Amino acid sequence: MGQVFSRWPSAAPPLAKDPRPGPEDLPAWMLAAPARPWPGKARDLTAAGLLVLAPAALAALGAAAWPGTAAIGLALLAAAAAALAGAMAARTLAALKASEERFASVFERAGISLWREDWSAAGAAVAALRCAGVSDIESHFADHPEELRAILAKVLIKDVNAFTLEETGAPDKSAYVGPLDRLLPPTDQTFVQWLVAFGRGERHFRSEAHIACPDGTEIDTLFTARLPENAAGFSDIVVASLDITEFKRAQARLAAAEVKLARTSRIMAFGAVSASIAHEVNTPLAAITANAQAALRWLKRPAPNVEEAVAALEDVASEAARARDVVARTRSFFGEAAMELVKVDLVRAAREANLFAEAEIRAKGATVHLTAEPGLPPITGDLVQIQQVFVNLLVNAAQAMAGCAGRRDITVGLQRRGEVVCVTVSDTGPGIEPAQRAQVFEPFHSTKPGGMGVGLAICRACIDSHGGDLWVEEAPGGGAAFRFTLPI
Amino acid sequence: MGPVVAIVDDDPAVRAALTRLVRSFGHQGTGFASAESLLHALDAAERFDCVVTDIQMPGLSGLHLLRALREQRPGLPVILITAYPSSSHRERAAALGACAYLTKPFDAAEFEHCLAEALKPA
Repeated sequence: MGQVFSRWPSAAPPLAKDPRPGPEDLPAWMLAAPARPWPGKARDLTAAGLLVLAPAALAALGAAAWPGTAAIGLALLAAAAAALAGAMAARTLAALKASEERFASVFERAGISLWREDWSAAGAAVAALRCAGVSDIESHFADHPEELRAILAKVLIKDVNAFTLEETGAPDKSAYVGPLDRLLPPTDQTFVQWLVAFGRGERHFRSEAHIACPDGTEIDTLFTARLPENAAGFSDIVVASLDITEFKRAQARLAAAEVKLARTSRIMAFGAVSASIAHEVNTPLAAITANAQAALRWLKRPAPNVEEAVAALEDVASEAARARDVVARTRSFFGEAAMELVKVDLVRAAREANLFAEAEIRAKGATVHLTAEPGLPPITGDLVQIQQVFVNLLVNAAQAMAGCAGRRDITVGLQRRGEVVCVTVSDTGPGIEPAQRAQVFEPFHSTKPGGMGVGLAICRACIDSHGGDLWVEEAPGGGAAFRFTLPI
Repeated sequence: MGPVVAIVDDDPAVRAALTRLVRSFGHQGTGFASAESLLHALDAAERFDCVVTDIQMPGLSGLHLLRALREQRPGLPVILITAYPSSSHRERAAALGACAYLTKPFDAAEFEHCLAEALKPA
């Protein structure tokens, strides 16, 4: 199963919602007159041919119409013009040939993988959608995946350069030339981003992708392309691709080390805090226990010493109050006083949390999908705490699916329900048994080897402190669906 | 008059409670707020039959006090108490010859038993 990068809806502002967009709403390339297709060899050859043939035809006509000296002169003039035009055409052809050879040479000698691809069908499909009033290309294809697959099958790799073959060890170009879909894993999410870029009329497109090489190995690539300025240009898009597999592996190792370090730091911080709390609470408890037992002993004597017992019990009461203050102090230290309330855009918070958790999510082979109701109002809350909730739920979902066969999808959904925003983070993992659902929020309850079991307890505390609720249900596909609400 | 037990704890409530508990056992209890104050009392020729000391204290810790007492009063039994137990403290206490290592809060019967063992003639 190919690992894919989690792609999110672009952060660019949404397109106009007009169901019938006017020409000013459409990308320029959909309106531009078709230019000559690159490199336009056939058209140039036609022009060159006309340049040679036209004077020759004139000469022939002149000789036929006006036999005699004047006609001979005219014919000679026409012949000379034809010769000149022929020479010019030959030069044009030679220059064109040289230009093509230079291009071919640059293409083949480039020290980076270059692909020439025909995206005509994709460009036409996007233009048709935009002209029909579809402004949200990504959502459209999320609802019609079969259309997306049909378009993908029509994108063709026309050529790859020598560097591509050397880099991947492919025997010849035939290993690449053909439909692009052979090289993209079924779970790829980058293809639709191309179409989004087309629909927006963007000038460049850059992204990371995970592709399968002809020999079956899978690599991470960073690719970039200049997008066409007119519809004809879609037949020949040059895509540069850089193999970043090793870089990504190093990045993943670094991220794993960072996660381990953060975890160790958390455990040490927990240890230090719990030691401090234990000391703070155990001290008055020790005084309470000793006083209570001393009081009992004084009272149980054959001649009870009430005075000693009363003094001991008074100290029991005062030490109990001290223990209560320790608990209250600890709660206020970790409680609401630490919150920094701001207006929080939950969609943005979810996107940012996805970035924070991306390394762990990718390491578990999971893919994140975000669906947000348009126009969600912001909520008032502590951004860091809310991001922490998203991160914990995303990482939990990815970890829950780590051993699963088949698709590992995490879906984050955000909807308004009256005066609250309802967020769902669901996965396609094994789910949580009904009997376990209440326990998963208890502190120090963990089903993961080496887990501390505090992640969901922290999530619930964060959501509680915002006046919301957090609970877990069964997802439609049988996985776990964690839901929380936050008041607007 | 029963044996004299020195209670060393920087927390006045715990010190008072343990002193009261020791008295309820029929012993004499004397409280000290620090290890240094106990050592001064010993220098002043005060006599104690057993020392019960907290470990985490400002200044000399209970373990430092135990080490000092091993040198100055090798026969004086010492019981260590702590609100936050650790295996390394427990091992060091045993290596330095502590009679017992108790975690706060502890049961009076257990404490009484430890004291009785500590006060047995060698």
